[in-house]
Amino acid sequence: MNIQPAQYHRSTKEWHHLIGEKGRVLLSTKVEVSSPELEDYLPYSYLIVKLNNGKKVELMGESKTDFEIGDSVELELRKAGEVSSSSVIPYCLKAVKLD
Amino acid sequence: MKKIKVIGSYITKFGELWDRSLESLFEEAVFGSLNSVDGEKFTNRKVTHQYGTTMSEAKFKLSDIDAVFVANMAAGQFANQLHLNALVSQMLPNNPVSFRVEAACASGSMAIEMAELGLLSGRYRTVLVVGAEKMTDAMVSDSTKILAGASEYQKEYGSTFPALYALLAQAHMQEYGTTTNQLAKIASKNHIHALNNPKAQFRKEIPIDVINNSMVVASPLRLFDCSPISDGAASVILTTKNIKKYSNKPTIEGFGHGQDSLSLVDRKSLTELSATKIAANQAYRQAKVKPKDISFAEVHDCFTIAELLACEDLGFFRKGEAGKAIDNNMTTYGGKLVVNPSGGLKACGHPVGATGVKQIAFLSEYLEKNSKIKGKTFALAHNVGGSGATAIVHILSKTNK
Repeated sequence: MNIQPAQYHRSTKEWHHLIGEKGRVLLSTKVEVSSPELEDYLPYSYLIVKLNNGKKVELMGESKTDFEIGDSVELELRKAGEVSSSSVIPYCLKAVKLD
Repeated sequence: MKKIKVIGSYITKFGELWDRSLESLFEEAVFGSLNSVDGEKFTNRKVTHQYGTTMSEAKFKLSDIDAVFVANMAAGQFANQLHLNALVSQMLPNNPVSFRVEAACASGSMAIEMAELGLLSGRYRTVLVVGAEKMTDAMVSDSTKILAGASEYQKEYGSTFPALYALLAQAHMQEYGTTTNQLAKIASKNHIHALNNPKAQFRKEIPIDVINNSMVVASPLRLFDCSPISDGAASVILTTKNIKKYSNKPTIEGFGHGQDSLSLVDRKSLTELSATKIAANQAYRQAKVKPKDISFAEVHDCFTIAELLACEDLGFFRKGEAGKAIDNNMTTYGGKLVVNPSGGLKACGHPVGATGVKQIAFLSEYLEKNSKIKGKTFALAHNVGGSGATAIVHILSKTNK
């Protein structure tokens, strides 16, 4: 994932306050085919999660994990790639299944 | 509404056209539609290729074209070509004013809508609309990323178009018990319809068990639930001039345009595309028809679930009942109406910028060939951008005396 520092700065402002939020899986799909930058994660789950605060978010689930509707999850930080040509290490969010 | 007639149309072959450039696809569609109109002869010093046998005897007067509307989604990324309005305008000796319109997969119908607004305002009297996309110059994996640009790509990291429609499919299955077999029947039906369409990318019957056993792309959607990556172009000529002269040509009776959020999580419901419902209601009201009056529909089946949602959102079937209707063969010949007689995006192909124009071109030609009954026959075109953020519906008619 090649991301410019300014883009990364903006995107983190969108999601940094969601780290640690908990909720439940509303809908889930397992993605088996994707673009090259996401191939290392395949297969991965793409989810709609309803957080306990009522907000809904779309995001990737933890790699190699199966998610079902109703599963309890927590949002964690996820490394989204290696150091890009602009020297940014991209991070974003993932949903992690809670026991 | 002032009458708008579709007086010319042309669709190139859709498919993996390795020997064709974006420019040559535009050119074939532009001159194909011009040559399909009865009128005066013209010669075009800028034409470098011959398409079909009628090229040297083209009949339409080029100066009749007041404006050109060009539909395309991503030529900048697929072919490193921008400034498409000028690229097309220069093909015509009089260099008519031209506009490029982009609304992801709804680019084509939005270009037609812009053209209609230009005609209805009185600014223009005859316009040419052309849509094209050259997708196979990019690797399929890169295409996936380019197409993901039609969603909120920066925000929804990890989303793909199949994933977004897979979530819509999961929602419909949860709520109404829709089955993967019903989705497979949609794909199978559209492949059968494409057997009669020489321009279609896939003219091959695909058995349901093959569809059900194809690779999973994003569960529950499999390979054969997805429309292909395609090259192709289509063009129509619309006019408000000399309506009596063109009384035997199809009429655009109404159109509507709905919008919703790009992001699925911001929508009220995930078992419908509300943009489609808004667009359809506007179009039905303007055309003064009801869903039951529609005989043929080209709907946006980028994925099989999209056709099922469209059949409900357009009012052909009640909410939650389209799956059963598909099981009962109600959307093919002999049923309630024929949905996607061209094969749809699924089997005819989906060169994204061309699709909306192709739907109108196909239905115009189809109405001319198939409306044999006395009176008016109605057809509907439904084109969606993204995962339902934009939807545009057109209703056409053809009158037989």
